[in-house]
Amino acid sequence: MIAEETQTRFDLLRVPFLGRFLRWRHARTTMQIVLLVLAALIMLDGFVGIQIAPRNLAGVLPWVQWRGLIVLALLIGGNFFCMACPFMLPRRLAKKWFPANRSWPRRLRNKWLALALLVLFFWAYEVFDLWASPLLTAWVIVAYFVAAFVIDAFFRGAAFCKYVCPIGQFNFVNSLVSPLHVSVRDTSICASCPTKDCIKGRTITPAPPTTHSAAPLGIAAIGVDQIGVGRPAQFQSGCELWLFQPQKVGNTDCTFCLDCVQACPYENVGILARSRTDELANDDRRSGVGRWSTRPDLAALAVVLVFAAFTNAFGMVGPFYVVQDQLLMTFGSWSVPVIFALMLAVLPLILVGATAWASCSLSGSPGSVVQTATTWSYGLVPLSFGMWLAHYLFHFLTGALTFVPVLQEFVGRWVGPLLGTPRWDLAAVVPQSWLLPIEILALDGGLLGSLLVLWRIARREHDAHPQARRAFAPWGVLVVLLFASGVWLLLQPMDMRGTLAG
Amino acid sequence: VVRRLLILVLCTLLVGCAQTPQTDATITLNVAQSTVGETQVDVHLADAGGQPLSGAVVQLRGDMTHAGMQPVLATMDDLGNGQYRTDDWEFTMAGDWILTVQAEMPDGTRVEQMFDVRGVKE
Repeated sequence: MIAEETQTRFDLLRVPFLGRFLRWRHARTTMQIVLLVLAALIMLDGFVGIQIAPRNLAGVLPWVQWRGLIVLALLIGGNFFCMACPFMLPRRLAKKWFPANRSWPRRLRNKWLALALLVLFFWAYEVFDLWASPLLTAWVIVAYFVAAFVIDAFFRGAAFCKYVCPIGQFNFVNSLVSPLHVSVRDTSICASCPTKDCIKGRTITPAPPTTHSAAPLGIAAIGVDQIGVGRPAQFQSGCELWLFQPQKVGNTDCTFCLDCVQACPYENVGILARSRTDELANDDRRSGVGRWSTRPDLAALAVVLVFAAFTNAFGMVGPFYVVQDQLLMTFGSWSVPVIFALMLAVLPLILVGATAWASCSLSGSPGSVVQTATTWSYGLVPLSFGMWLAHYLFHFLTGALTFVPVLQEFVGRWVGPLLGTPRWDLAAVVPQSWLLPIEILALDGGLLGSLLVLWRIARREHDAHPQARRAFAPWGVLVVLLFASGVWLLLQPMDMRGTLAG
Repeated sequence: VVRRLLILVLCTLLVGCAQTPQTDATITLNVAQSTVGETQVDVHLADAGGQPLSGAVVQLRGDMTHAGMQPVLATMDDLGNGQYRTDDWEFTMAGDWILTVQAEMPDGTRVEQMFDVRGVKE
């Protein structure tokens, strides 16, 4: 018997064709191979191609198409980039070649290292204009492949994804507002499951289709063992990020790898629809994560991504260069890297710290400032995502088709004019007049989402309405101020500067 | 284990070798105004001995340093004596631009040179 809930909730794995493809055992590998080929082309062009970003695959594909598609996927679905991540293919090789039996150091089982790398990445992005340098972009990709390979050659599970990968952390945090999550279809099946294959993994044997011997009483196993029919026995991993499906909440740390879908003998894991704000307002204990309110590292990650969203956009508008020129004239060349470091690391500490202090003081909450900030910071995620969405969509909508002439030129250089003369007139996919309304809409959605989540946190933390209102007020003010600064940024003239050809 | 890692590192380092194309002609470029909107751009072509090169087909291309923007393309008028001009060149956005001059000589040889135009103002 399947619960009524699963019949009514949208499940991507039950969508014709797409669902069948995603349930296919080699779906992830297929997607990864496609992206691996693209990554190889990007690296080739980045290293030996013309060093002008708009004419190089390493300048176009990662910074225009890939970033745009990531935020779109997060908006309409979930963490589909991690699902198709090409860095995981060499990692699989590493697991075959090397023992990979060490435990990740206990002190590093948190997000602090990933957070430091993320800040370093955003800082380097601004200071070295990574987006304008195909060569540096190619080196970043190489560094990713090497890091994923080396780390997962030595450590068990998906240590790189969970504790190191900055892109993964960006996706984890922003997928908190995504409408889909990998989740159990019917909790009663899990309650009586004796094998817990979704976390432990299982060997898929080539035995003929039968009812699974370990099936809980009264539950028919659907298609058990059919995947392996006619093939040698294979081990299917359970979740390598240590998320136990029955206790997993939402998208935190979930790479959408679908190992749990493959491992579950009852086909009881789906990609299900959900509310965009439920996970953010929830402080239940989560498998592999714990309670959010006890994870200052996770909260810090969310906060840094908020301020990185605004810093990143600020670095592309005219007023930034007025400030930069003043700084350079007054203090010299060291001042700009320092300013970026302050905006990414110190400004969040000051603003969120002050807001948490005000919230504590006004509501009379007994918690410390750090505890309060840890509890409430997740409410900023929708606005942060709104800003990322607005920024990346601007580049995507104005330049989605620019990969066509760049690819034509690339193929022309290496193979010959197979794809014809480059169509340099191809670029935007929407009229320019649509851009600002779309960007403002993204930011509006973020503001509403943040206010809603913060209010739900307030009601969760405080039984009394007046106390909840007082605790909420400073966070509401912070979100509105951030929103206003976001609107101001979007209204500024674009001013795109960066590394120039030598 | 160490040998396998070393081989991998060497493979990635070898990928990083790049070549830069060489040109014989001297190309000088002059932009009348570095502001958003239309402006005049002049190019002067000369051979290695400093003699002006006329009769070439000269294309001018403008790219922003950030990918995702449509490039600006123009064919320049040959004014003679190695001088080439376009009157309706347009910087479409503020920021840093890279102008690429491509010239095809009457004998079919081609030269190309890039120029930085920093800080085009609104």
